[in-house]
Amino acid sequence: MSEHAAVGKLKGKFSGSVLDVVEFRGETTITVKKEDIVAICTFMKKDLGYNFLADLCGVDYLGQTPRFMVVYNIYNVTTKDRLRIKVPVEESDATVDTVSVVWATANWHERECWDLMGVSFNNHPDLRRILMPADWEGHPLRKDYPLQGPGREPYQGRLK
Amino acid sequence: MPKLIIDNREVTVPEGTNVLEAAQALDIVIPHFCYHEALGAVGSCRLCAMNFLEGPVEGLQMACMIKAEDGMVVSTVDEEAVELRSHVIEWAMTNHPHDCPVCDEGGECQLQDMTVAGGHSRRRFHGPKQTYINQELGPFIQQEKNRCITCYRCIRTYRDYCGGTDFGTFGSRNRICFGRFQDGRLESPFSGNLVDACPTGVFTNKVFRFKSRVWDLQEAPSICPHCSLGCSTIPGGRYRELQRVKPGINRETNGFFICDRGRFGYDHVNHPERPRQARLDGQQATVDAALTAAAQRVRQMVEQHGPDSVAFVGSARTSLEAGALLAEWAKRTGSPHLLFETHRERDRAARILVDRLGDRACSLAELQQSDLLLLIGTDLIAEGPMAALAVRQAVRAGAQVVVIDPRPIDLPCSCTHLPVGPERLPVFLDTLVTRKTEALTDAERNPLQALLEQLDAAKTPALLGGADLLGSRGISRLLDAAVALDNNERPVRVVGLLGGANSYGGALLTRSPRDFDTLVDDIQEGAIKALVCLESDPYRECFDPARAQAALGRLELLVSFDCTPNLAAQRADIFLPSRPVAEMAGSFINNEGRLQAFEQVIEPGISIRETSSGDHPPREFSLETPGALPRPAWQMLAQVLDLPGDLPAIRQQIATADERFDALTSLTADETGPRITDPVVLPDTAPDELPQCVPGETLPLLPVQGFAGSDWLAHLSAPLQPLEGEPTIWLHCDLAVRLGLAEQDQARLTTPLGHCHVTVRTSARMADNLVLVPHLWGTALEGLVPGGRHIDCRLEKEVNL
Amino acid sequence: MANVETMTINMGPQHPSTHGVLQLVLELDGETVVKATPHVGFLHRGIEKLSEHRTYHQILPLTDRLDYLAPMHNNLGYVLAVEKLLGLTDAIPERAQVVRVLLAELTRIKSHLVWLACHALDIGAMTVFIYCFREREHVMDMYEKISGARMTSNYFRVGGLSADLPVGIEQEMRDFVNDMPKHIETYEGLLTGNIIWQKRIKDVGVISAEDAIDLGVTGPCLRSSGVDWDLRRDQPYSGYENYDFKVIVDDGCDTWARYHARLNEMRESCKIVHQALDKLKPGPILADAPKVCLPPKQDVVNSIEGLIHQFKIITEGFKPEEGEIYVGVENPKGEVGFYINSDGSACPKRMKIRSASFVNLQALPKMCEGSLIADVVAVIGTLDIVLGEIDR
Repeated sequence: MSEHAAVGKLKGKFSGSVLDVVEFRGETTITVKKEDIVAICTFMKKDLGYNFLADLCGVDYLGQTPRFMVVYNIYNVTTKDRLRIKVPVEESDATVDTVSVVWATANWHERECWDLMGVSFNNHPDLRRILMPADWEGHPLRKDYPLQGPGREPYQGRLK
Repeated sequence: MPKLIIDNREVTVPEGTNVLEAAQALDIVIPHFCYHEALGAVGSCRLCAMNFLEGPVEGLQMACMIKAEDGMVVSTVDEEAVELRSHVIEWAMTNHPHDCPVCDEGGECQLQDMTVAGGHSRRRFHGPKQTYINQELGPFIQQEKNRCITCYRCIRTYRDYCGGTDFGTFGSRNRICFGRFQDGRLESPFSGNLVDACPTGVFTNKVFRFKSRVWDLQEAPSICPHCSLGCSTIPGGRYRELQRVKPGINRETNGFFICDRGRFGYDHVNHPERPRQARLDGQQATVDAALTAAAQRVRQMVEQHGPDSVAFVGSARTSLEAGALLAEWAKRTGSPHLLFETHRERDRAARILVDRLGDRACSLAELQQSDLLLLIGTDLIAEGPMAALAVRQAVRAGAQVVVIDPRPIDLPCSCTHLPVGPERLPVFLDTLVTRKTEALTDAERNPLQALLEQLDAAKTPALLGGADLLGSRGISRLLDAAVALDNNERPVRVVGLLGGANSYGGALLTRSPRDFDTLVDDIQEGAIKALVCLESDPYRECFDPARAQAALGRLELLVSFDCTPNLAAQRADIFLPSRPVAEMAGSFINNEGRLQAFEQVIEPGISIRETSSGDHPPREFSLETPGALPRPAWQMLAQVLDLPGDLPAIRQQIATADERFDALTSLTADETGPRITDPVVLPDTAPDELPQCVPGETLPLLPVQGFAGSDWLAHLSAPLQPLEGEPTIWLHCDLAVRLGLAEQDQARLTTPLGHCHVTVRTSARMADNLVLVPHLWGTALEGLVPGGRHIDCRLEKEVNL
Repeated sequence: MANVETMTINMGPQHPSTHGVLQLVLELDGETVVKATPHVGFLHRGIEKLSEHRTYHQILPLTDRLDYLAPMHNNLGYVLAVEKLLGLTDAIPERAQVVRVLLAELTRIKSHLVWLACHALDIGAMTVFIYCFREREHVMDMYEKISGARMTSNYFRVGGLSADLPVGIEQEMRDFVNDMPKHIETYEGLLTGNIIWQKRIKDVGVISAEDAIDLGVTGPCLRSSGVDWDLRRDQPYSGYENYDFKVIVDDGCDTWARYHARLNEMRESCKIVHQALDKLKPGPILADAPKVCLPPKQDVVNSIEGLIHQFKIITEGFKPEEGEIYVGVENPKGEVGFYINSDGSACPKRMKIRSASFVNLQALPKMCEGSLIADVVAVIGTLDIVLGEIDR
């Protein structure tokens, strides 16, 4: 399967960076170190043909270290393959290099990740809030941010 | 330690574990109904089938009935087993009524969970369902017989575990149902456990019925505040109202159950007259203003009249943190008067017990392992109901129980009862220490010698005593007896039933060798001019309420922190509204020295259903939640002392200042806490004042605790009202005859405090020449305090005019 | 060198042509746009955060409100994602799959009708607006008959459909798609030969294929730049591999190409609807997975087993395995993807909605800069954005 081929090639070139490979319901997820993300993404796009970044988001694993994961869902238009790359991000150093140099579409996705999750992106051309008002405090999609918003009586419904 | 393989995973379990538990050790949960860790396995539901592939047992077996053995290979996911389980569910569901939308159990219903887990989803049986006629079982339990799946858990809980006798099995074959011999209130004080034991909705909590769905409840692990045993509970509240209490699972203390007082005594949190506003000199004020005034006036009092003029009194129902901060306040003012119990005997007994208990402490789990239990001067059902249940489990395992007490003790197990007058109890204790029988009467000598022999032969003996009847002298002698009865192989364990949830903690914190009774003298003379009360009632819960009330009227300053409408709250110059256990986090130390934390369940506030009558125009909105002003006592005291107001900081502070409480900093509500044993400031000696039961013109009165009506918090709880009943007295049958009274007669009790109409009860199992008066709040018997000043009385038959 | 002074004006968030609450800050040099900066977030309702506190069944109505002009497509995408997470994709019965395709294509027609109506209205042709909305009413009536609601249908369920199609709806659908090509002819007749229309949209909003892929543009916008990519054909779902339809690809790269592409897509959708109606056979509409799928109502009412399953699935929710998946479907606007990360509990740990409009809007500055301000309106219309999807 070409998915495995991509994984094999990635492991060959960046053997030190690949932390984990998981296959679930026919989808492959590769966890890599965040320091190499730009190099890896450039490799994926230029050499392996994953020219389309479908989605970029952050996930908050409050209570675990590393706290955040930034997830890149990429797609190869020619071979019609999907692949997922994840980078773990510590809470103490919640920054990742921007991949908007690789895929221009990452620009707004990363802005949203910064806005809602608080993971900032180094060298981003325009890192500011996108969905929340510009003067908003806090990162709403984090797990420790209250569902009802700041300054209100607690949400009375299901919490998990 | 047998080792077996379940679903290709190896597990080693202690000897005697059944295979169902062994699977649970691997986090494999098999559907089951009738197996319960506390009730044992009977194999009646047939649901926990597993396929035993190899080993000493083979084939489709019920996992709960098979003990794990070496070499067993078991499969839980084997097709045959899965299919069998699905068919068993189908069979159980044949007659189950269509009740889920109206059944309270929904959301914590084991039947729902097992039906989905068992994989049975399509009904094949389309015939009529069997129905039964329900019984009225009293104010606590609602019965719906149609929902029964005959797992027998109710019987095993009520009869086997809790020792009830009025509940049983009816019918045979496929017409079995469970009920009381006739409609009426279930008699056992542990009847509420039927609610938890029943895996379907046959027995539901009648008080909680239709109030909330369980997933809407805000719940948190907490500790029951009603007696000194400190059982784990999980209170549940919704819409600013505490709606029910469920037992928490704590295998060291209460196990899986709680008593009815703990289960239905929560309503003091919602009491309509609960004080929620701070008051300053009779006017409503903000909490901050009242706190500032309190700090200021206490300081002024100290400046003007010296540190001895202020006394600080806590109680057994206040949290450890609040108590420690009260102690800090006392220390800063320099006042030597710091007490945590206004009730003299309970205070003194608690301090002596805490001082000497040490390694003799015995948890309820350990009590169940005893083979000989001596209950002397304690009525477990009234003073610590779950201890009675632990005693019963010991008896079921073969233990002997000897009870020496003037009261007609009812235990949920068989025992040997020696009903002697309260003045004989110290004599008995002396005999246990010295083994000299000269002071005993002829009738007493033989039983006591037999008892001594039994105690010597016993492998795990335990002595239990209560603070009210034994007093400090008696508790001290009880501990002497334990020392005397020790032998090389084993110590004798001691369980003391103390006054309240934090009696042990209060004893640790107390700094004055005086007790409250002597403080009352000082107040009467004017030496003490100010009193700071922390959740206590010095007017009524003391050795001599009449004298105390007279003296307290002379105070210049009374500051009271409380969450209940007692006299101190009403008459305080400065009143601060505090929170009950369910509305704050904190910790208690129970009677065996175990430090346990409780977490906040709900925020205080007047329940939503009370803030509007539902009419038009709609209710008014405000930014403040109505009735939300009360604050935790420790938080208010921290403000007085200028300390940071969050609990972790306060706990850190307390642990740093007092290394006895080191464990506070890492305490969580879910674990069983550590034991704290440390020396205590002991009380001065005081004369014994036990009533002498000799026949004469007047009769000695022995006020005692009852199961319902004697605990202040439980008295404020509306669901427990049906248990309180009318003022009652108990007489020995012979005494009743001599007085011309009979069972259920109306009589007139005359004491120096006044008259009271009472109902007469008689028993042959109690001491003669004695009038037993179960203490009942809210009646004329209120002033007769258990363990209080000895009073004589007269008793006459009430003549109907 | 001339000193160029630019004027910054604000377009929106309240503006008839922004298709919702979109704010465009335009830096103008005369009438030419030097820089266009979209500001979004005015319709942010926190759907992703809410999803973390809802069971999978409870999230379904929230997805209706994403791209509210193509609600059944959002439902479809979400339901497919959850089914993939549970491993149920192969267990969905045939009838449910055909109905899903049927309604998805009707939704596509509905969405494109709104696109055409608003696009034309912004540029000045009001008649087209009225005509398109008249056809759209037919679809909304069908929606109401099938699901009970005109717009936010909430019709699909995890495992199939919530209820079967009402009797007689098939004939109504057939009549609709029989008439539809005639209506499309009418719209073309009003617009395609119209000089004003051509002048307004030819060579407006040009974006090359490389830029489109780089910026993540999907849907008709991408296909009109010459990239042959349609998720229905390339990563088929719900049985799309069994349908015969053309993927409309155009090399034009401008608004004119996108206009034709969408009109032709409507025609292709009509074809697919015909094929689906032919394939429709009686059968079950829910997968056989009682722990996950809500039981049929007669089971709930007549048997205790159905009642218990309904009770537990609704109140507690089913708990999928731990894991993460991403499923994208071909929404009328582009690729709408659902990334669901499950931690084994009844609510998703994280649900990210990759919305087509959010990413397509990123391309707006590239398409607008250098054009006249009047072209901005045309570009917004041609991108076919829905703020509900952008802001979530």
